[in-house]
Amino acid sequence: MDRSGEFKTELSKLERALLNGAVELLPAEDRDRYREEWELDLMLETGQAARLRAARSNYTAAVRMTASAMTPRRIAKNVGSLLLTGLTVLGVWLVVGLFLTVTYWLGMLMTAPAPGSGAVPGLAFILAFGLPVAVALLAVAANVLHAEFVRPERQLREAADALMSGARPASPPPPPDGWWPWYTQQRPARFRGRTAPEDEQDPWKPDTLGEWSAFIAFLIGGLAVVLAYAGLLLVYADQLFMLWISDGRPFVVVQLDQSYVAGAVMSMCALALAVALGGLVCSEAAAMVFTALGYALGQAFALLLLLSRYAARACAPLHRKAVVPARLWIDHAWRWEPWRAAYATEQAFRQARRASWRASRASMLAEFDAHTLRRSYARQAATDILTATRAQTGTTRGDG
Amino acid sequence: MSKRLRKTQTMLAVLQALTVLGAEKAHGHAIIKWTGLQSGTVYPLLARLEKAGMADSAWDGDPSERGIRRRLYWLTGDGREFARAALEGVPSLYRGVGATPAPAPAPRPAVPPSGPLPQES
Repeated sequence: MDRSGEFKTELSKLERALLNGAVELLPAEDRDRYREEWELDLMLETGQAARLRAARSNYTAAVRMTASAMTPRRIAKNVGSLLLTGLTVLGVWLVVGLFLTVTYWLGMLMTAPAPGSGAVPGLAFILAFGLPVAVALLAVAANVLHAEFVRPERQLREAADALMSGARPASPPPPPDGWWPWYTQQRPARFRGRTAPEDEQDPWKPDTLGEWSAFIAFLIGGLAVVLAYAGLLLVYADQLFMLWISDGRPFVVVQLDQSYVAGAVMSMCALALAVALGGLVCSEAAAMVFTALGYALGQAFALLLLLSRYAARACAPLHRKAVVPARLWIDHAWRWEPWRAAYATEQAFRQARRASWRASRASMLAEFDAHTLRRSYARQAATDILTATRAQTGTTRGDG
Repeated sequence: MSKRLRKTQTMLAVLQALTVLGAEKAHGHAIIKWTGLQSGTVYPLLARLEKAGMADSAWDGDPSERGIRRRLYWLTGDGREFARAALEGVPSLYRGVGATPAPAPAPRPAVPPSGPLPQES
């Protein structure tokens, strides 16, 4: 016999959310019992207002029962759960830090024979990967903690208060099991009502634009990170190979540093912008979508730089045979030399002309001076000759 | 154990409902309707009574049957002693409609009393 036919009343989405939220407050061993009992109570009520009032009252009952059942052991369990979450995040961060440390020393070991390059590969790796990963982990932890402790209770209480005050909300509150598929997948049984439709019970089926956007952005971001790490490993493998076959002077790391520092800065800027935009629109889903998109864009930019550098590195023979001579020819043809030669020629011409003019003027002056002197000397000489002649002949001026 | 249970008005109402309704009919919704209290008050009291060993509860019917079941509450031996002592001299705390019929209101006379009819304003 199926007794569900006795109760034809279907609970609305809000009533279901209130019931689920109330049950979630209870200890795990009591949830099934009170869910069934309170669901029956709601179905026995006549009228939506009475059902909502009863749902709100059930929520109050759950709060009171939880508070009365809060033994020191349960408090310790809650604190322990919180600490466990924090330790999990810390553990992941330590693993990432260990990876960064190894890569740092690997990078230092590789770049040590390259003096004067100015490269700090370890720092570049930390900037490129450590900080974005740390920010992403913090975002995950914040989202989990927020979804765990703050959001459902707050949303349900606000919705219930709005209803009890007589104001009907424009739209029902979102289901409290979150929009993030990863987090929902971690807690598959959370907030599921027994009579919920099948499509609402599938955590891997995003049904809104925000959920789809978040899911796609999360996939793109994850793919970008995986590709970036794969490219990094590829470059390092190439680096080891070059160390083996060459004289041990790596040069890729220098370019890698520059590109990844730029990419890391872009990532961090994009993350900051994403958080700011998400905060502006006051929506967690929007914040996470913007964060994922910003992170994906930053990592894609870094990856693009890395691939371009690696492509240039792979095309080095062609570069050496074709680009370098062309660039030398361009340098020779269009850059310093012709202009410097022309300038030097012009300067030489000007200097020569100036010297010529000076010489000319000096010559003229000299000639003038000579002429003047010659005239004065001639006059003086003529005077002397005249005087001497007069003295010899005994005549004076005016005598003859 | 009973020292930890305060004999408040709501506690007395729930005890009276459990006593009056009996083990066959005292499920949560019926107690709520009988006492006129909200479920936010009744269920914590029932949980407190259960924890103190004054009351017990079980699902109604065969657990193998599917569907929504009622959870019935009843007073244990200690609970009955406690209720008897607590409810001594307490008037009826019935505040709702449900298992026990409420006292019927005085029937209105079919024929209006003699005299002038009130003027309608």
